Amino acid sequence: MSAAIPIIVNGAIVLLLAPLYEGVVRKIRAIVHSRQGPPVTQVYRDILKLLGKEDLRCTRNVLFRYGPAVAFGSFLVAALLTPMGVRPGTGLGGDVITWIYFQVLGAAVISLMAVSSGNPFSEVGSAREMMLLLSVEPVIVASLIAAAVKSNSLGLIDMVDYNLATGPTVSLICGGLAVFLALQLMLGRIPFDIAEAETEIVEGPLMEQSGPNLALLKMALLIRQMTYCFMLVQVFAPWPKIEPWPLAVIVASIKVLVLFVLAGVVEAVMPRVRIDHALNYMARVLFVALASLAFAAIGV
Amino acid sequence: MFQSNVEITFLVLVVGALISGMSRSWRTAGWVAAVFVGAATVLCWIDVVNVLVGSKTIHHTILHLPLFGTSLAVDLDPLGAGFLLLTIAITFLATIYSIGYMGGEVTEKPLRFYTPLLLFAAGMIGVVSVQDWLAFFLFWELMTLASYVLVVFNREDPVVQRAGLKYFIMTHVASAGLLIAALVLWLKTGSFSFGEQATALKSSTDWLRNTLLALYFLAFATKSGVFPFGDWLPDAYPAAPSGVSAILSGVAGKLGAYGVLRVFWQMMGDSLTRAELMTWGVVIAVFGTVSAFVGGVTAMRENDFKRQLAFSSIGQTGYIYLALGIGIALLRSERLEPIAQLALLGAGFHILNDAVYKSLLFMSAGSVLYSTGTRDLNKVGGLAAVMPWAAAAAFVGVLSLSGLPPTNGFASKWVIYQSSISAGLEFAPFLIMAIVAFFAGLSTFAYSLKFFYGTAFLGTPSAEREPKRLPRTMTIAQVVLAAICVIVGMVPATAVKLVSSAFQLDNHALYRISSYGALSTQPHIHPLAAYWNPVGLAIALGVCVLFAEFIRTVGRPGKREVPNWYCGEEHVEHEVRFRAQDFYSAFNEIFAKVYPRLPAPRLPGVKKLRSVLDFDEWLYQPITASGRRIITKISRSHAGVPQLYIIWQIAGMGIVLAILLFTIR
Repeated sequence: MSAAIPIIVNGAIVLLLAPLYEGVVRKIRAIVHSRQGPPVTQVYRDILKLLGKEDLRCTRNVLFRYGPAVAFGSFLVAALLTPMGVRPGTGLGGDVITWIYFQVLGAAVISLMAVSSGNPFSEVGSAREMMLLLSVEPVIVASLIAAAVKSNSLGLIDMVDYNLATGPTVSLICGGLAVFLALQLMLGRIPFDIAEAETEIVEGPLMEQSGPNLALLKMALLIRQMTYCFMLVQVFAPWPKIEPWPLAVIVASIKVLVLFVLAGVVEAVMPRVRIDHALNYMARVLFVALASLAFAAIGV
Repeated sequence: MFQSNVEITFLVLVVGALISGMSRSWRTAGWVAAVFVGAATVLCWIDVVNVLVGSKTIHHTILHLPLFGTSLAVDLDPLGAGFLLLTIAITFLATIYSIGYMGGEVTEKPLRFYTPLLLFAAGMIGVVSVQDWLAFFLFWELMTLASYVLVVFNREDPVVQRAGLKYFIMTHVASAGLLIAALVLWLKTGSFSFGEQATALKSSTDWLRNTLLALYFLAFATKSGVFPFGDWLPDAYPAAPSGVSAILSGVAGKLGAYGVLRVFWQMMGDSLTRAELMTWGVVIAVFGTVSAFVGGVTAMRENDFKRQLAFSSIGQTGYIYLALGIGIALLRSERLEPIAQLALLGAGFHILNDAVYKSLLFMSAGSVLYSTGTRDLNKVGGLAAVMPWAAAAAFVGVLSLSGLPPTNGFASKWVIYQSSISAGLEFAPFLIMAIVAFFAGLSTFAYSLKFFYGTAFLGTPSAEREPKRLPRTMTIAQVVLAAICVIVGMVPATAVKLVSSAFQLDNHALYRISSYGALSTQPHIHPLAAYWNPVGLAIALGVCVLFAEFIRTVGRPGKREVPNWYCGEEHVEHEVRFRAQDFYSAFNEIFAKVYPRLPAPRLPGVKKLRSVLDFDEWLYQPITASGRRIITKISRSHAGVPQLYIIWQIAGMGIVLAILLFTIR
């Protein structure tokens, strides 16, 4: 029974809470823009409505058909591996390398799906998605390796435990800063929503999808955002240690909500940047991440 | 007479080379070759099982030459057996594949393909099953020469010629180093055997020892295609017929890693000082890392998919050398011996996996080439409809190459990342190498998915030419390799056991393997904890995907087929294709200087060398020309006039009589 608790809790958080957070972000963006904005439950309604819509197929390719489900599945597995306040069970099993590669698997399947549609807008979108992923992944990897070096473990939960036990350290603060600076890009939000860019390439990879498949994709991307945020909050800033676990889950969720709100404000006041600017920006953030690694290597 | 199957295998392959060369039909020759290689595979595997499972070494001297201090002997230890297993199996599948691939419109004779192919296989078998440098060198040369003939198979094409020449020169300069090292040590000991030469190397001066080690490293790194020594590779791999590219990249390149393992670990691991091991280990690891990075970044830029795979081979070899280097650097260190073992395990595991998926991908590339007749990614697309099985296999291959779960590529990268991070705990530069390796891994994924799979198999078909269907033999070879990728990815524990028995590592010291195949590091031995449950995660993924499918269908949506939507514009599909060269253009600008294409230097001797190597020009053609002249002269005597023949007969009789008279008296 105890092995099922983290799976249920994590699953519930990413599936049920993520649309609410997105709704809050939309509300905040509307307030910044002096608009009324949709109600915070709008995202749930969107998804429910999409589930009943017609499924339009522009190709018979199996990747186009099953891509959204597989992407959803792999992001969900990554979410289940993330410590979200309750210790992930050991039965499922996977360390941080597995975690990273399940995230990558999801992104890979989405790009494949986009390319299989044969729509040039989607192809442009997935090429951009890939470049952004290539630029953001070294930052995450470097920061997480710094955490691994400090905690002598590749397990995400061990990193959390280490950080809770020792309190703030220079290297992990630095690493957390790097991940935080990369957050907007990881979430795919303005100014880094280059891959989807509604006004330019019409949602890019998602363009040809419709109805229930589009709903799955939207959910998959929300799951990914939640997972990244929880990773940042839990691995790099898990303090203070809270018992019992339901309280810890609530506190972590509130921290993540703060991150979402911050991201939403940034999104509301910034224009979209061009892809080469984004790559330059990430190259600078990488230095922060490498600094954290260097601090970790010398043991501070 | 024969005490081991390896010798019989060798004979089988040579006989097979002769017989398959005699046939005039490509199909017959192909099946004959496949039968012989198949027989060889079975024979070899019997020996391999004896060595790896029965844990005994096969030693049998065939010919002993005390005068030269050498002996031709079959000497199969676990390391050699591991490579033997891989080599012959991949060669067998590539031969099967070639039956279909070479069955198309080829004007050459099968003699030019199957005979060198089987000799190539024989050479590789020889290389891994001897422990004598002279024999090693002879087999190494047999392998290189046979593969050279295969690389220049399309001899009409000047590009192929140039690629072949570059391959020939670079590998021979490198293997000359091998010969020099062997001869120098032979002068000291009078023996070519691995053991005695190692002893001699141990007792040499530091200067000589390290020079010779550098020669070994250079030779093996050139063969594996480590950047920058592997500059021949992006030219030679695409030039060869695809079945041969699969063998070249899949197994022949790995023999370089075999050499490094043999020299730096098995021969010298016990006798070098810690400082020397550390230095050489770091050198190898640095070359490996640079190679991984350069290979990955350059492949993103490439538009020719076989060249792209060749660069990807450089990158994957980089991973292997990174792990080898870490293993060698930490060998025999007090606390970190387990990490060294872990790294060596990672190297071996990656050798195994890369052999499988890289040969699979070269076969996929060959299928695209066979079907469309072009290597340009800008001109191909939408092939999944024409070759669904091959496309599925290529999909698996691409996932493996990118190191994504649940395939074998992830399994070995998991081990390599782990070992490099653990090694970084002790020696921080390894951490940077780990990050570069991560980045290279992701770029692997970017180019392979988007370029190769995305644009060749998916997307819209190009309107230029109707693609051909694949023969069954090609499809079977690819599907078998893809199945291996998935199986090894799902049960890595078995593969870990196999590699550790080939490398004689204690797998219990490396990983705790649970009953359902989960791997976790032994906490009291390893400084870095890692855990991976492949079956559990695969089941979780399956359940999550089914759950997604449930969500998808819960609203009972209708479905309809529609054309692509271009925001209301009307376009012809193939006119608005997004071309492969425009993928990653922003990225490629950043890394444009990583592997610049330099103009080939004009060397004065090259032309002469080429004319020396061109036997047709100065040997065969003069001989045939003079022969033809003589025949013409003789034929003039046959004017067709009866009287003339009678005169010849009378003259002949006279000569015979004269001879008889002289001899009888």
